[in-house]
Amino acid sequence: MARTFCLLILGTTQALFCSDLFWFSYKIVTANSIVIYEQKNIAPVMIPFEGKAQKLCTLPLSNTQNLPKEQFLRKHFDTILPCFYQLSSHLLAWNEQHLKYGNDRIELVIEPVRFTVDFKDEFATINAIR
Amino acid sequence: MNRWFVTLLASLGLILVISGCSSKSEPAKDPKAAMYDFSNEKSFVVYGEGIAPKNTVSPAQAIALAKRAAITDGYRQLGEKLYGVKINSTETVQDAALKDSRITAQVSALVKDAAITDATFRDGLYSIRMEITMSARRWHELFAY
Repeated sequence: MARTFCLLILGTTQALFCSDLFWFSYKIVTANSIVIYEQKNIAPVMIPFEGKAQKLCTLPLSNTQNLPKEQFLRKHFDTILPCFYQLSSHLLAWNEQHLKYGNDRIELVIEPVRFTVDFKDEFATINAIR
Repeated sequence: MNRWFVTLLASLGLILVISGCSSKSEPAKDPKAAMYDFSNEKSFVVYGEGIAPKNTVSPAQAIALAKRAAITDGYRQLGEKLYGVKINSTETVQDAALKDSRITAQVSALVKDAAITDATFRDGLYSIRMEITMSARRWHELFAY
């Protein structure tokens, strides 16, 4: 009982202090210029982190339905994705040319980065925290 | 009078000889300082292309996927320019005739601060223009660690 209560308090404090900070990462794989795999990751940060904020972009997005931030970000992942392209993108590419055919495969990974989103006047500002 | 004139000429000649011997000292170029020189900036421009897949839920999804494929292709080309390409090639010749040819190109890169400056979609092909400005200093800041 006591342990459950402690865990509950821990969970609540984590939710209170870390709810505004999220992890972002992304992976895309293309074969012959067609997307064959996409992995989109947004998750709340579980450990408090103090870092320097770097403004990535401001988007015309407003949370009119008052969705939880995580849910809102997941819903608008495609909109916020271009903001993160400027961060470090790791790339692996293979191209094979045979006598009668060719294969092309590219893997692009945006490395995990902490970020915040602030809503103000129908705009959402995304800051990377590092 | 002549004596004064000869002395003056001799003095002038001496000054000229001495000043000619002294070399103009230029500041020595420090290799580390040259590394942080902004003057040698260079822009790399690439055009990435992506194809809209056929098995999509809607045309909008097809365009979105084509755009992402184009961006990925653009990044690959930037990686080629910034880091180079590893090429492996094998050719098999049998009975004096080319039987098989394989060329494998590999790129492994870490690209930061690339900008998408233009994008067009026409006839199922998404084309984007990507640009990255690079100098010795930026290279050092972004990629050397």
